[in-house]
Amino acid sequence: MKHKEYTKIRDRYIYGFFVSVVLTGLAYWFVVSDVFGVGIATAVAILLLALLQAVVQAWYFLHLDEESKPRWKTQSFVFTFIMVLIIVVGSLWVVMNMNYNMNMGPSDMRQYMIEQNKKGF
Amino acid sequence: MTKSTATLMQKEHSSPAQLGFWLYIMSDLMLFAAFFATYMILRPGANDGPSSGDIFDVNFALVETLVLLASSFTCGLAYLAAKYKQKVSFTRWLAATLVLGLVFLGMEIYEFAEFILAGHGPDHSAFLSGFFSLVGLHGLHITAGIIWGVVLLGYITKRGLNKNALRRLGLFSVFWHFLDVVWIFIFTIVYLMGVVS
Repeated sequence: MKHKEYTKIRDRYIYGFFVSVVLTGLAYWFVVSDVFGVGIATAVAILLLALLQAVVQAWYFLHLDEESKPRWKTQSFVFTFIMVLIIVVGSLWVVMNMNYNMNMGPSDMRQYMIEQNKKGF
Repeated sequence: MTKSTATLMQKEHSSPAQLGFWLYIMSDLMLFAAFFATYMILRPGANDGPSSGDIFDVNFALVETLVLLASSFTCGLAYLAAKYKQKVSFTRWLAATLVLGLVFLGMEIYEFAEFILAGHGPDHSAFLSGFFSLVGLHGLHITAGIIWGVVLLGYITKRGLNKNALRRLGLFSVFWHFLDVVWIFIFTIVYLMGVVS
């Protein structure tokens, strides 16, 4: 009886390991042989593969799927995922928007700051 | 999944220590998110130095990724062996985990040394500062994990696989798997994407 459980859990680890290796290899292949030919498409594809692999490892290594109700770990994991998305996407969005609207190089920026300083804020 | 497996897992997950440690891991994830955001924003700032496409070696990073993944796998097997009181096989798997962790850490240090010796240290540009901070933070976590693992191995060798040892080992394995999950994103966002664009 114990032995049966043991092999079952062990097989989950082996399965998770092989799926992770395949996903890593796929992402590597996408980049190295430039399968899509378009930079942005490759970037999106490998990001999706990374997310998929994170879910696979959360399932097969961290056993999130076997958690009993109330699923505190899963809930906090989803919450954290949303916070991480807000931090990363939000930061990139704000800074890219700023760069776009300011639209000046470092030297122009320096000149602009000097003029503003002369005027007094 | 059989019913007995479910109850086995249930018992473990209801422990407050496990949940508390899990919440620490979640807050650590947010810390990593801040470092990721910083790196992505600073990446264009190469300061006439090398850009990400110039210095990153994807093959080297791929080997690092596979080494860490293998160590995450052996860590799971070590925990499983410990749960079934197979001390010999547990010792082997945990030792393998720690050796693979050391190999990974050695590769990270080698890469850092290579960059710094070539004049591409963290003080050269905003991009390199971001890179060294993000990958260095991960390396610090790995170092802490290896120290923790060695202490655990010593404790269990001396005292055997008692209840305390199993609980600590459970927390350690969560920490170690989590470090591998973070590394997937470093491999993808820093190394692979650095070569794409």
